[in-house]
Formats: sequence, C-alpha cells, structure tokens
Amino acid sequence: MTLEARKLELIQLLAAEERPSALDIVEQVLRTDVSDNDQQPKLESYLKKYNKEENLVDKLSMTYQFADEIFEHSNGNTHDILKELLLTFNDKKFHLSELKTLLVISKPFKAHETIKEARAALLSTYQEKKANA
Amino acid sequence: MLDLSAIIKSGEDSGSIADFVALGYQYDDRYSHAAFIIQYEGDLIEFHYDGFGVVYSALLDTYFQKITQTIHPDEVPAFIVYCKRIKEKAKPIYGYFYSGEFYDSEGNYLMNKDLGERMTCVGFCLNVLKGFLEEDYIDYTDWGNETHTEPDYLQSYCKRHQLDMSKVKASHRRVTPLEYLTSGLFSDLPIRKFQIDSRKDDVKEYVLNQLGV
Repeated sequence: MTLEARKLELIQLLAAEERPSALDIVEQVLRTDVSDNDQQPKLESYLKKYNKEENLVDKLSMTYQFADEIFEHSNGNTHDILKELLLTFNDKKFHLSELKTLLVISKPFKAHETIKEARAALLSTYQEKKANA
Repeated sequence: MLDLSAIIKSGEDSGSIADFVALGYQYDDRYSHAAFIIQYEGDLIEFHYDGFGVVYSALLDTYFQKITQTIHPDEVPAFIVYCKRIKEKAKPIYGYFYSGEFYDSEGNYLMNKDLGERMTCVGFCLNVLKGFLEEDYIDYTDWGNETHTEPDYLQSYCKRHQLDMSKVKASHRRVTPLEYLTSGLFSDLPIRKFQIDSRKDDVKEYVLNQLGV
C-alpha cells in the first residue's frame, strides 16, 4: 500500500469515529514532508490511540512512549520522525502541556539541522499560547 | 521589593490555589532539604531526591514553598509526566556537584562522564528544571566551591569515591536549599546569584519567624 493510500485509509478510519480533532491531526500529518516512511504506520497508530485517549496525563505519557519507540527502532531516521511529530503538534488548538511535552522531548536535539526549524516554529506557537493562557 | 508572603507552608495554605509547581524547603537546626511541591487537580505531590533515591509521592512532609512563575499552571500535567519519567530512570549519588547537567525526556542524565550522576537535593531539582525549561534556570557559574564550609570536602570525597579530582573539580559547587527557595522570588531566567544573595537573608528570617524560632 502506498503512503498516500495509507493516509487516506487513516482519514477514513478517523472520520468514521466522528472526531473532528482527529481529522485536524491527520490534516497536519498530510501537510508534513515525510522523508522516510518506515515509521509511518507507527505514527498513524500512535495518533489514532492518542486521539481516543481523553486523559491529558495519559496522552502525554503516550507521546513519551512513542518517542521511546522512535528512538529505539528508528533505523537512523529518528530526527525525521521527530520533525514530523513537531510539525503535527504545531497548532495552538493543542493544550499547553501537549506543546510543552514535545519541546521537552526534542530539547536535546534543538540544534540538529533536521528539526531545528520545526522546533523553533513549535516553540513560537507555545510561547504565544502561554502568553495568552 | 518582592513580597515574601508568597512563601507559605505546603498543604496548609495552598488549598484554594490552582495547579502549580512550587519550590519546597525544609529546615531545622541540623538539616535543610529541597523538593518540588506539585498541586494537580487537588492532589499535592512531593518530588525530590532524598539522598538515597528519587521520591515521587503524595505530600507527606511540610515544606515552606514558593510557587515558581516559570511553570504555567497549564504546564503542570507536562511537568508531572516528565517527573515520572525521571523517577523511573534516575540513579543519583549524593555529592556537592553541579555544572549545568540536566535530565532529558527519557530520564537520562546528560552529564560530565567523569563525574557521573552526582548531585545534592538542590542539584537534582535544578537538573529537573533545566531539562523542562527552555532557558537555564540559574547561571550556575556564579556559584563556586566556596559555597559550602566543609573543609577538604572535594579531596576526601574523590578519595572515597575513587574519582580523579582534576576532572571533577570544575563541577564542585553547592547551591543551598535556602538559595533554591529564594530563587522562587524571581522569574527572569537565568537567575543570578547576586539576585538570590540580595534576598536570602530576608527569606531565612521570614522562615524562622514562621517557625517561631
């Protein structure tokens, strides 16, 4: 199955759940430039579970667990997946703690060429949201 | 002048306040200690390094606390999950050392390899803050080895733990629990030692008055 077909399938799956926020997340994923598709099924699976979870602390724990997975089984594309995650969550509609968690996870890599732009953009969104919270 | 009345006893006075992360300080004649006091959805939690291990539990002890303005109430869930990650993996060893290390999101300690995971209770809290905040919490270079009064501490510590003194000397410093509490009065980062020095005697006097000493 091609990446586009897999994304379409994910959209249909999430749409069937009638969760607008899930569609928003998928839209973010579609806007993302994916340079390596090995982790895409894992990302999709994580986002789907993430969207179903309602407890914020549990959602954040899931993000850490997903980060664990990409760091442990990345085949050298850790930073690409991390970038994708940063782009996916770069939206003020997310809770401040959701934005902050991605910033904490990516902090050790903030100067890395692959992610620094995406992280800076997320940081800007976070700062704006925090200032208005 | 920064208002010291924002320093309160944990648990006794914070019931009506929204979620927060506070800097906690315990003091008696022989002992002082630093911790985080966290309030989330009405529950009070203490998170600290007690010299033996990392503690994350319901609040059992009484601390003097100052809510830090560096962590927004909406960031408390993120802070809690980050603390739990550290609790799972951190293995600190007690010692008067700090040189800007921090815990990453995996709970791994990003450190001076010659030194290992050596810190005080305050060093632990500073490491946690450094990993969580975008900016450095304090400018640790303001503190030197004059910040404790134990003679020959470094020499005897290195001998006892088989450390090469020349390789760890630069990290030898102590930020005190009182300085940690006092840092809560400031929010522009990094906090400098001269700022803390300007208020720590007032804070000490305030705490002693509260204790009736």
